[in-house]
Amino acid sequence: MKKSLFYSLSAIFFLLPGVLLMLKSVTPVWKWGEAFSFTFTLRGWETFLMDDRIFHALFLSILIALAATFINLAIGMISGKALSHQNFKGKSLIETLLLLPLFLPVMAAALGLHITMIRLGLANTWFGVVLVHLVPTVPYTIKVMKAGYDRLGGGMLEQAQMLGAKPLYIFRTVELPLLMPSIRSAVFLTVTISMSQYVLTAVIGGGSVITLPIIYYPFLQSVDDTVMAAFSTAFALLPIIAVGAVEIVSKLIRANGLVLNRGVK
Amino acid sequence: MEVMKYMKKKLILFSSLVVLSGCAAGSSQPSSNEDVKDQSWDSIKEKAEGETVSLYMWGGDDGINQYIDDWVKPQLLDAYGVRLERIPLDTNEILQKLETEKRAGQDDGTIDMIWMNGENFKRAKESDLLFGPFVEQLPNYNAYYDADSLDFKYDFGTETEGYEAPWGKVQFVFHYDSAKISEPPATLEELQQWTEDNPGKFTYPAAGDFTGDAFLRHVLYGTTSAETLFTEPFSMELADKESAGVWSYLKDIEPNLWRKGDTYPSSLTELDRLYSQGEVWMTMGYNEARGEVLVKDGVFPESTKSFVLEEPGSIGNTHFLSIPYNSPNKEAALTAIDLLLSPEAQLAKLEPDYWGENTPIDVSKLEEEDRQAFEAVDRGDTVLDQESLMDAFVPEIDAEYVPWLQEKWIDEVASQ
Amino acid sequence: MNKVYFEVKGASKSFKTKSIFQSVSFSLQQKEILSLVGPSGTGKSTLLRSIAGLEPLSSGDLYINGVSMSQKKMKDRPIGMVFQQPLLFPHLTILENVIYGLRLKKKKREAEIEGLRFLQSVGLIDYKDAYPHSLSGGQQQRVALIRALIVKPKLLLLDEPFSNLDPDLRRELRDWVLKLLKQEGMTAIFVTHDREEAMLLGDRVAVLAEGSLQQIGPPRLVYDEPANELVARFYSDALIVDQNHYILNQHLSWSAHPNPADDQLFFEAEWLNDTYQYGQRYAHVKLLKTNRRYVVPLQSDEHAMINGERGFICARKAAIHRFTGREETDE
Repeated sequence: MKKSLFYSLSAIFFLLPGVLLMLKSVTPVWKWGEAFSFTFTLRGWETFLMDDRIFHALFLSILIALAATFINLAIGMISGKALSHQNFKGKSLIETLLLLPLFLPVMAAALGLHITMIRLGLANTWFGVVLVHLVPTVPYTIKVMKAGYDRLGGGMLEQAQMLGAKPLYIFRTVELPLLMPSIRSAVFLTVTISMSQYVLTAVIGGGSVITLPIIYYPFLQSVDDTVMAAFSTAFALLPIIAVGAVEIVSKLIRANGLVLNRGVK
Repeated sequence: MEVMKYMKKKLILFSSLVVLSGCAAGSSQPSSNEDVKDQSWDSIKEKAEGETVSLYMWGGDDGINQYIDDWVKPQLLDAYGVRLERIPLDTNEILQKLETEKRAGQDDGTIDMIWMNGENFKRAKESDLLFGPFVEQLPNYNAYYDADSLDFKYDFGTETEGYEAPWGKVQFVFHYDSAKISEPPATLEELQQWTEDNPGKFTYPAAGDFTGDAFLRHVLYGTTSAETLFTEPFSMELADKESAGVWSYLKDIEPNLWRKGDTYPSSLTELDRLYSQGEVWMTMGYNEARGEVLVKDGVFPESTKSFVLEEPGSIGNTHFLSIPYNSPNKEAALTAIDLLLSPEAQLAKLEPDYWGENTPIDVSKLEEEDRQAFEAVDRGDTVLDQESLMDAFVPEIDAEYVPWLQEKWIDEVASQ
Repeated sequence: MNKVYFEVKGASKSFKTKSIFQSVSFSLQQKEILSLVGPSGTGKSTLLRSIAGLEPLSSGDLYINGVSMSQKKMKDRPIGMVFQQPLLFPHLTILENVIYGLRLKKKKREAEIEGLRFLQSVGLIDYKDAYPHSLSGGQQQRVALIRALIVKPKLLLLDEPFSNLDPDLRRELRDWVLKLLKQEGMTAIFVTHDREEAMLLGDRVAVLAEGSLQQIGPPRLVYDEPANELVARFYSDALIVDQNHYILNQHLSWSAHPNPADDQLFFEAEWLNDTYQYGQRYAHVKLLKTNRRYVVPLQSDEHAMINGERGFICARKAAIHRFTGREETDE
């Protein structure tokens, strides 16, 4: 009973809008009161594919998102673990400070960082863009990973230490597998946020770094629902595909026996 | 045989070196302003050849994008051997980037050309972000544009002083569904009468939206004496004194607007959507030809037509191309702008297939053949003929009115 | 004399300015089990964690077979530990859990064979492929114990391993653990706050209170001859006469009226209630002077009193003992 409720609710709230959006992206603009007609059109998707830089932009967006995700996970795990398992002076203050970037207007962040990036020689480079994408993502990742380490608890890691395991081995055999749900959320959040950054990418990348949002954000002010639907569908699918890729990689790693199948010296 | 092979290899090596150095040249040695200004057009052309220039411009219209990508790029390569890269970025971000680079003292930038006008030009000029003056170096500008035209001398009240070259011209028009309206209003009074006769079928975007602001300026034009708006610079006292009519007009029509004026569309996109759904019967926009493609794509009804208010008129403005102070390829940028200003490029831009946008060119200066070609362009059913547009044309007013109107609108209309 | 196998010398631990324990010294012989008892919050767990290497000592050192441990990293200390919670790795099967530590030293096959043998010997072989969540709390704690034992540590630390189990299970597991530890010849330190458990499991008992080791010795001896008031109060059952004297509960009796005899002492007390344990009747009374409660053996024909009625705890003067004094070392 409960289960069927869950499934029907998720169908109504998640699946149905998605399906409607996809339908909309291949049918002409429909007007109220007009009879339903299913004329198929690829106009929306043609507009989407119009710019010949799309594949390069797609590649760059994914590269930036994955690099940002990787750095995010590294920072998130280290600080999440410290915040969760260690007590130190000013801990709650630091926790609050870490959230502040989320309340900072993007433009202010972009401005402040741009001058630094110019001095560092990172303005107009893809790596500079990766670094600024950390601003709106790292606070979330730290939160998520801290919650993950809270759930894991310190005892589990101490137990592994007591059995004689080295930190890296513990990381691979205990932390990584048990933190998978948190890692998954962090990856999803980071990829989604990174792939939808327009202002930060525009200012720091300065037009030399053309990601998908740079090409397509201006189109989102369009009144043409068919085009909008195609773009929205593409933007919704990209993070899902990226997360799927991360999932497959983690499956492969597990299948190759990082946990118990390989000899450890 | 051997020699041939060797030569071929050398040639490939050489040409790839040229390409590489072409890319690197930008960052290594940006030409100083003085260098460029003193050069003859021939030496500019010579220096430009083989370079790549970047044109930074808003990228949210596939017609415009296609015009640049499909028409301009090959033409430019053909005419001057210059490659063009179109970088889609909002003008605000472009200026933001330049301002920071200026503060950081970065003299080798990445931007060669910017598409802008109005407030953005004022901001860029006041912050010394632009290279120039340069327009008088452009052969096409000298040959086909009326350098004395107020349209080019002033950009929303800011003197251009040769820091930007006119690229296009648009006029504010209303679009309506001719299946529902047989005789569109021709004055503000008739518009008011029309809303009374057809309650709920008209509205305008809220102030703060680009189009909403432009509509307010039309009302300002219609309720004040036009001369004061031009002859006097913006002052708070004058604005307060002259604007009483604006607010009373807007308050008078409010009860007959869409949703009785309780809410206004927050953007033109929203108003367009209401129009495309038949909720309202009119929409508007700062581009006389923009309805064409929307009708073609089935967003607007087939029966869409446009009109302008003969009284107070239709505000038009010119938009321009400029070169940032730290452009790495100023010579190539000059050649590119010259090409964009050429009669051929302007004619292609006028064709509704691409952009369908009006030209700032002085048609009377053209060769007979070219003039006929311009006159022969069919801009489509939704676009008014050139004569009606010209008759209704009124210029933009001081940019400082824009924020003032926005603020007042919220006090006087939205919060009442 | 027996050879010292494990030794703690002058161990102290403080967090910033707060001292947890100071100058704790004791030693164990091989195969000896020490019960470490004391009121909660006296640093028993911290002492154990410091021995394990989970916390650094502020001063002092540990030796196993004469080798100093304080400079060694945790993974290099031949010390195992079982915590209050079983802390099984939820994503690994029981067998994988058991051989987690062994895998670091042996090849997979060898480790598995040994793991299976262990599971067989403790009767958990049927669960080898199960995941921890499908086991009961007691079973999980058993797995945790053999996971620690299988790597053959030189010293095993048990930090209240039964505290989360219900009393019946606790008793059962206690016997099982004792049997297994003895069978494996394990040297162990067992922390508990349960006196009974301490007596039954420990070859010796150490009482840690107020940051110091108060007394260490055979369970019965410490019970009968507490070194001081703290030990008497926490570990023994004795009436504390004054700073230096005590009377064991077994020497106490109850009387409604003071009995005029020279060799008797009387302490006025208030009757609370009475209970039977295995046929013996006890009075639960409250000493007026200190408001402390005592359990006094009663003659079965003694009249029951009403809650709140006054009477006297009496004892022969000969039953008064002097505290044996603080024991610093145990030789």
